[in-house]
Amino acid sequence: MAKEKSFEELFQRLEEIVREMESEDLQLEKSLTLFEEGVKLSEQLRGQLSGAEQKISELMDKLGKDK
Amino acid sequence: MIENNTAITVGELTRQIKEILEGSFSQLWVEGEISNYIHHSSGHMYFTLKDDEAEIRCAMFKGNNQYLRFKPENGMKVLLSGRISVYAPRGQYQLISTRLEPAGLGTLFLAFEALKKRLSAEGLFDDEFKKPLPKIPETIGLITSKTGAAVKDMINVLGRRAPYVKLILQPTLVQGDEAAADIVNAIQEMDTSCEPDLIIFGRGGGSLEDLWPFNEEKVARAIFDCQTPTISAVGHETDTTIADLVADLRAPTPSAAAELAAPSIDELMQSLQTVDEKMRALLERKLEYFWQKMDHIQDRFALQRPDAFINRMTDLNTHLISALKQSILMKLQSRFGQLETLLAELTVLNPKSILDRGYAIATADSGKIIHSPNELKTGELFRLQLAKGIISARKEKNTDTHQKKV
Repeated sequence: MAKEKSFEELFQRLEEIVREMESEDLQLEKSLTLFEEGVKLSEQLRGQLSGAEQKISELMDKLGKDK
Repeated sequence: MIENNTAITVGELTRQIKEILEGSFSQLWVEGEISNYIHHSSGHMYFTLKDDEAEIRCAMFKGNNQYLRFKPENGMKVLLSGRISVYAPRGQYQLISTRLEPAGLGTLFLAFEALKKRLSAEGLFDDEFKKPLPKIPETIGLITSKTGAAVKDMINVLGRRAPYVKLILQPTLVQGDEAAADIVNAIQEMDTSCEPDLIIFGRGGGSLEDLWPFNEEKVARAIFDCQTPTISAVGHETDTTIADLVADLRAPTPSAAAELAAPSIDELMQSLQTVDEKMRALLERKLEYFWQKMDHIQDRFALQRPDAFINRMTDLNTHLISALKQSILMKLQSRFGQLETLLAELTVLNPKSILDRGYAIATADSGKIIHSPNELKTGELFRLQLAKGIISARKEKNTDTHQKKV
């Protein structure tokens, strides 16, 4: 399974979307597709951020489980 | 006798002495014992540094002595770093101290300075080797004592500001002879086994000896070799260690490190909000632009061939209207014909037209039409409907001819 995209990558994609949308000669359809993707991404990020709770583990525990 | 013209003034001589002394002793370390110590109300410190053979006047100004980690006392053996200064008006020279350490720690300081110089020459502190820190780390490795204040501070700050960050704690010794090796292992293990986005290593404040593991060469090299970006958080702001200089970022304290490590959830939510608003505005602008463009195209189309277009529409219109008229007229005519026939039929069937011809209809009290004399008892009342009115009647008797007697 591919590694899930990190917050940072998702944020970067969002910024990219805004940059693309800023382009003057962008087709309307493309504009709509980008907007849709952007809104979805933003919701996903919001969900991930607000759903997160502090998780603390000790490396020893982690290594113990992995082995 | 020396001739007059070879003599120099006191001022000139002192100037020369000053040049020679200050030029030759501009940066030195001296070991000695403190005596005549005065901490002046101005904040400056004055004392004499002496050993068995000699003594020398010393001054340590406020700007330098405010960072002293100990209180100097008469009789105390110290290691002093500074320069010689000549005060011409009184013909005196003295040591201006920039650093002062208890003599027992002197060797540590010299070792620190030597290592710093060597690693600096090697380039370990150079900016070109500093790795950029992740903007939004999701996993942060903490390398510190499991029981110290540092770990509590960092967990508190990150938990409050950035609860989305997953923390992995690698407990280590942070002072004592075995600490350096332990820290090196922790860094290597953390770097290779669990790939956090960022490593923070550190400990709370302490004496120079307490912080010493973070001044050891192997720790410096482990930090330098670490693939994961690092933040150092050793002691307080005024304690600079070798580890601080090698790390990708130096935080003044563990709490500050936790704040520098990850943006707060509020900041992130705010920037998401901003992006949302921006996207909406951009889409709206794009839509407006397209509507305008469409209006423009329509106008242009109409402008290009107005005559042909209007003529064609007018022709079509006329044709359609006349065809419509025709079909409506024909339908109406045929409907009228049918209506007339129906009316004629209805007239014939109407019971009233029968009464007009002199017939009557007998109905019982109940309103029922009477078809036979037997439907009425003798003496019973009934009604006769004529063309122009109603007669109330009573039955006398039946007759063979089926005619009622009125």
